Amino acid sequence: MSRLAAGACLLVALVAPPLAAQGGSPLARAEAAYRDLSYGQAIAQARRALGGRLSAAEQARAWELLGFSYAALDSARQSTDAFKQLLFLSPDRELDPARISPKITSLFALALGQVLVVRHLAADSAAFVAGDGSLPIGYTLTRTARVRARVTGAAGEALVDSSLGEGERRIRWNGLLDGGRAAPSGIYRIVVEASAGRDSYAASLPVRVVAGAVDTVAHLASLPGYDVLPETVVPPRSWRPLGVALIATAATAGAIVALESADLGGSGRRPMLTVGVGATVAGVLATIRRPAPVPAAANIRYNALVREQLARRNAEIAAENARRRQQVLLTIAPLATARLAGSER
Amino acid sequence: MSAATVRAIVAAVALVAAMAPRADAQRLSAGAGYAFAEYAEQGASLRFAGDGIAGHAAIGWRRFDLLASAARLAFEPEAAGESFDLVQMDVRVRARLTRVASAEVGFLQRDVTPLHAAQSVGTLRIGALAAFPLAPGSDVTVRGAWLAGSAFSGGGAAPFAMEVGLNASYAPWSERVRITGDLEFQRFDRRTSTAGGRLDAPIQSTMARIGVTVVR
Repeated sequence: MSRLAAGACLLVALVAPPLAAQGGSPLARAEAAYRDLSYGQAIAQARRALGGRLSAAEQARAWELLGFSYAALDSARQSTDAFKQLLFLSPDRELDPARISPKITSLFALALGQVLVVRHLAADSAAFVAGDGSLPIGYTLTRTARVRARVTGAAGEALVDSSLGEGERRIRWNGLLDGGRAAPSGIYRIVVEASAGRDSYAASLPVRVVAGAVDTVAHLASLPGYDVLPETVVPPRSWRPLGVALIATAATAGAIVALESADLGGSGRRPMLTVGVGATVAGVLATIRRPAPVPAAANIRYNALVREQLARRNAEIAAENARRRQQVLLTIAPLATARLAGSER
Repeated sequence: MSAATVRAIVAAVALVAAMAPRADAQRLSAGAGYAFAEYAEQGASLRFAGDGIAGHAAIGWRRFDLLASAARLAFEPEAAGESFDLVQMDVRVRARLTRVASAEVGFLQRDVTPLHAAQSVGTLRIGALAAFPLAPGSDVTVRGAWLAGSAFSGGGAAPFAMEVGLNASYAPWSERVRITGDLEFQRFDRRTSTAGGRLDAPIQSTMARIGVTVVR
């Protein structure tokens, strides 16, 4: 008993100094009485405080003092009832088992198992494309209940989950409202409603949604690692033109000599010599001339393939950009702690 | 055909080739130059040499070319014989078979004035040629043809008639302007029938044309 009281005193001293400092109010007097191990006085002052006007946090503190005090007096049922009220007001409240008596924590756990509340409702900050990514949302149900989770705001609402569940749950919102449109910028509220028989509870979490355009991809001017090659190359100098001219001239001269009529004798030497020399000179000039660039067939085929791939990639980028221009990038951040509403009949 | 007529034809063909609208895969060329030739007939004593003007034009489309050329030369006898003027017209259709080889058909008409100074002749030409590029705008071409169905002003026929040619072109500045040289050797084994029997009267000519060709 003395250990229980000492532990409770220590807890009160650590977690509630601001309230205790207000020595004049009933709640402050309840704190002081609890520290003095006057549990009956603490219960009376806490109940008196609850009869007055208190904030939600002060109400929660008053119910907590009642739970602690009843537990100290071995009134388990009343302690559990007080903790149940505490949980309605502050569902995320936890008791540190290292600092608080196991007797109190076990009664708190008993109350936790009897009450239906949505605890630890939280959402991560996230940035994603509406419809593609999602916002992770987590919460804990203390009992098996039918759960309906939705996101609601001025622009509309979306049903995120509707199922039967218990314990820790993870759901995701894809950023779309009913009708499939992306949520516009604004303040939205994630509402989780749980019902089991005659008990029901709702928790909500406000989030800020900022809707923006999705970045588009720049078109490519070249394929990385695939440079365009020169489509003409200068061939090395060659004796081929002169050789061709000489062979052609010799072949023609030979054919003419062979065809000449024996009766008429040789004729046409001057024309043949003139054109033959001309052809040979053309061959010499073509040989000593700097070779002209010629098409590089392999490079042309390679460049055509590169350009084809580039055009295909840019067409894909254009299609991707057209898709992205229809998309909305959502940046979502939670605003504050959850608000609560519950009833138990 | 007079010299004025030949000049008019050459000028008209060159003008049409230069002004015709050019379609894709269409080639046009025209040129003119100096022609000189040696001509022999019947025997070694009847030999002539002459010179004059020549012109040609060609239009090509895909694998095919249509070529026309004309030349007018004035011949003088080297020994015996009489001076004469010669006008030669050629029309050919050429089809490219491979990158090098082509086939051609056409006709040749050669008129001599005065009529009996030498033989006028008309004949079909069926031949082939091989063109070898030397450089851009420059090439050398070897050709040969069978001259079929020859008809002579003095009568007779030529069961064997052949033509051999060599053409060289060189583009010194631009591929569009080319210096050309063309050699054309012809031999007709003409035979005539007389009261005394068959008479061999062969004809042999060698003509060179040197000029400038503009390609469009």
